[in-house]
Amino acid sequence: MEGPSDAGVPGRSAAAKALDLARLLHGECARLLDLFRERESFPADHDPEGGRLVSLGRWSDDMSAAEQVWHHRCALRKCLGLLELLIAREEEEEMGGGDEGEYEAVRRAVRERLGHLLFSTAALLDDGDDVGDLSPQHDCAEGRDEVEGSGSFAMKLWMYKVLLELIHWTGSTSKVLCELHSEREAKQEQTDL
Amino acid sequence: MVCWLLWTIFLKTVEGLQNELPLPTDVKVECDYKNKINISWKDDTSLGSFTEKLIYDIQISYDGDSELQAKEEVLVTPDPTVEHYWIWTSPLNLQCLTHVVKIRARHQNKTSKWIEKPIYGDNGTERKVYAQGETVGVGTRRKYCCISAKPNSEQKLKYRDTNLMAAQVINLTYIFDVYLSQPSKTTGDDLVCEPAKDGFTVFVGYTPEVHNFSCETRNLKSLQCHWKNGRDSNLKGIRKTKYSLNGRECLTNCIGHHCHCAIKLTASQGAMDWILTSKNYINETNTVETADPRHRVYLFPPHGLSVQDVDKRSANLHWHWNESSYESLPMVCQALLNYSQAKEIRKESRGTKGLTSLTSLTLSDLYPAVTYSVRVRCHSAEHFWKWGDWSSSAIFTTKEDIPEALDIWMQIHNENTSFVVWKSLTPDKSHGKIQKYQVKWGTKLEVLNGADHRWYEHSGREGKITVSAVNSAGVSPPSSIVIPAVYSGHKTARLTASDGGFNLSWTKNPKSMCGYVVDWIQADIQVNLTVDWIKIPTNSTSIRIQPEHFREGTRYILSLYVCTSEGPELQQKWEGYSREKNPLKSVSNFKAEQSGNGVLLTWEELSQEDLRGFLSHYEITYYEMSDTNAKKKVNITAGQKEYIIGPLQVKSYTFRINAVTGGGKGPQDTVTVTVTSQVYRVIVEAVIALAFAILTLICVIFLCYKKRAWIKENVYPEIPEPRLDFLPPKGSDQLFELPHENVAHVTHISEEPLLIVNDKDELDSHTTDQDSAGVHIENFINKTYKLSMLPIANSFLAHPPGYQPHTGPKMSLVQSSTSSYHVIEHWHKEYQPQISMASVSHTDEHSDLIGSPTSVSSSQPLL
Repeated sequence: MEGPSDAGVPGRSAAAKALDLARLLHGECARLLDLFRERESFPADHDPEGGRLVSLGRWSDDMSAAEQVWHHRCALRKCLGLLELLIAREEEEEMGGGDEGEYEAVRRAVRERLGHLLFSTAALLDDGDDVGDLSPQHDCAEGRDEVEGSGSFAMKLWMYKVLLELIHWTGSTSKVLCELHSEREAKQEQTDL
Repeated sequence: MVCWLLWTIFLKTVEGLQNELPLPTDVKVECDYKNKINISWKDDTSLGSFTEKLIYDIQISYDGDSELQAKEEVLVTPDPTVEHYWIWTSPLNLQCLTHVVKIRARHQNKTSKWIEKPIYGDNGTERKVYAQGETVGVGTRRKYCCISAKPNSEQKLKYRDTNLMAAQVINLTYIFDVYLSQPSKTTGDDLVCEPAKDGFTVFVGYTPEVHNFSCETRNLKSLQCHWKNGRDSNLKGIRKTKYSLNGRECLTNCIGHHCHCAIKLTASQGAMDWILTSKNYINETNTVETADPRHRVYLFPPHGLSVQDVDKRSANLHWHWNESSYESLPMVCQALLNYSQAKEIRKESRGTKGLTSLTSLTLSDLYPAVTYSVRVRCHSAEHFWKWGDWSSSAIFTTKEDIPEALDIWMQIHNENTSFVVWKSLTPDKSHGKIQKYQVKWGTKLEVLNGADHRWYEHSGREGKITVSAVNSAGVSPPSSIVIPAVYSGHKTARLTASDGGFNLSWTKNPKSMCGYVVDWIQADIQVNLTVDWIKIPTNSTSIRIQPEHFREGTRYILSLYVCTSEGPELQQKWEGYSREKNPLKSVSNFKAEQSGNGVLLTWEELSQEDLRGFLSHYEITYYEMSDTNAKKKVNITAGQKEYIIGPLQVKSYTFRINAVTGGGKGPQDTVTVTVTSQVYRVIVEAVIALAFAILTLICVIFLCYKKRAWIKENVYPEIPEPRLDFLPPKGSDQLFELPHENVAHVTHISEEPLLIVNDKDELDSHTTDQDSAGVHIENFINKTYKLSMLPIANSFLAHPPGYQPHTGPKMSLVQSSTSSYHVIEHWHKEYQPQISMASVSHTDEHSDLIGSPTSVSSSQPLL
């Protein structure tokens, strides 16, 4: 499940690299959900109730692409927290049976790559002058890490939701990174002219 | 007053009892909101003096359902100060629906009124499914409920891809009976209420199983317990089995099914029960073992093993213990010795210091000059539980000692040469490296190097010969032998082996002073003869010889010697194969030739090396080539080298021969021969002779043809053509006159003219040409002639001189006088006709005719 190496394409911008990483992560999150469904015999069309676990605190369509990336990064940070909680609970329950199978391997890869994406987007935003006054410590997103209800079934539903959140926010991040990449490319072309 | 009051109370009580019992008081119904209902109550105070047993009826049912779910009679001794209770576990989660608990008192036929207490279930607003006991054993039956917001005939419970239908419906509660027959997934099996999609997870597994539970101590400070888990519980994580030892949590390590945990020991604990409690979410089991830790000592290995005071046959071992608790523990220790021959010798040594640990051991009865690898292990001397672990190895070599006496024997090679041979000393007998051997005979001494094992005697009998081995420690005790005289005349008996060895037996020989010796050699080897032998005590008269080096298919000669005071004396001799094999090769020169009506087969014998066993017989198989299935077999006694098979039909036959030994048939040789008949042979011989004669004749004819000129010249020289010359005689010419009597007279002339007739036409043509002056001679060749006598003049003309006409049977006879014939006869002798006419017969009379004076005039000269 290794992604393409950034070093292999010289001259690519940081935004392009982050975009690639987000897209790769999005695919891996989808794969992780498939494996979870397979393990738990969840139907593919299972749609849990209860709304989003992670939501943005402040959002406006008028935001610049960089600001949108910044907000999505906040959401991804919440997602990482939820994923780590999920991993802790699964390990406590030894839901994988004690051995590392494909699900556990993909889960580990998603966690690591999500950390890389957060680092990449942070660096991306630090380098840009279009972010404005956004503090990294700003509480920009909300996440619900409590399990609704008790019992293992409720726990599984929560885990399922966490994985859906990962897919949603990595996909959404890919889009805003794509916009940011386009903006900066256009700006760079104007500067070059 | 007091008495009145008491009487009134008594009367009321009796009256009350007679009508209706008082209600139980302080009735409380509590539940854990899962499935347990705890009902408690007290007796009415009026029953304080009631001496008989009282019954409380308790009934539980679902609200809206008349069927009783539980019914119990609780027998109590009335005591208003005591709280009674009864606990009921519902098969259904209490949240599924409202339970109604009823209780009343009863005594004989009298009862109190019922007291009803409801336990309300879920109102259906928050949860849609309720279950209890998320972890259950395989094979459990459970009731689960789904609560619907409205009546729904499609309400189902999905479990393992199966949609279960409700077994009971009460109001909006759908109750399902589920049989959990299989272990669940690691993450549990989900049961989902359809269509609401709410569900719960159930973990289905097994209760813990413990086998072979055993405890021991290695240091007398802590106790280690081992066991083997049985069937996997199928529960992981927080649900997996947890263990405790005597109520104390025990940190457990498991490798596969084998687990162990340890707890600390208190001093002088003595014998006690060790209880292992295995508990998981389904059940718990207790396994007990009773033991005194000091009887369960499993010692660690000794450390620092060293060897000291190494001598020829002894050495001292020393070691120490790392565990201070072993200091007062009496021990028994054991040394494991390995040396070059990989032989193990175990020596045990009990501690001699009473209650102190053992730290040294003396090894005795060691072999000199042997390198040993030694290890030590120990166990408690108080009570054997098991041997401790082996220490690491220590290596040492004992000192050399003088060798033991050699085992010597002799072998007589021939009249003048014999040799003395001895066996190599094994390390346990050589006691060091053999440097040389000393051979003494008479006053002479010869030293051989340590690699030699035989000494040849070339100079006749030397009497007693003594051999000793020498190593660095000294000279071995001498071994002596006397080489006897050459033996002859002993018949060699044939010996049959059994199971690869020979069973020998003999009659006891009174001359035996020091037993018997059986030696054996390979029969077919003359150079570098190896001999082996075994010495047998005097009282034995049989032995089995089965050395490992016996080779199959090899002939051995075994000799039995009786050991007398004057030396060995040959008593018996055998030959045999330890295991016979089939012949290596086929017989050589296998030939077949016809002999009369049969076939003579001949062959040559195989050599001993190729036979590889005692020759049993020859097996001859033969069959007619056009019918290979009809094989015939003949066994020929060993020793024969020819055999006639017959009579046989006139056909082609294939003959095969195999030499057969006790080990089986050898390779076959094949020959094919065609049997011919006798008549046919005569014909063939005649034809051949005739062909030869014809060939010879052709050759002669050819030669004659080639040399015809020469033959003609030498045998038939050319005769000049006759010529009539009527020239008048010259002066030298002389006419002679035939005497009258020499002139023949024709006495009869046939009326039929003389003709040469081939056929009628020719006859006619000739008839017409008879007036011609002459006849063409060619026309006469190969023809049949009819002769008719013509008038003499014509007749003469018709027959040229030198030509002798043929006469047929019809020819008329011509009489002539013999006296006038000699001249003609002379001519006749010189002339040979060129054409043979066998049909023509000549008679003297005919000759006379030719030469008849009537054919010529008397005045004509004769040639």
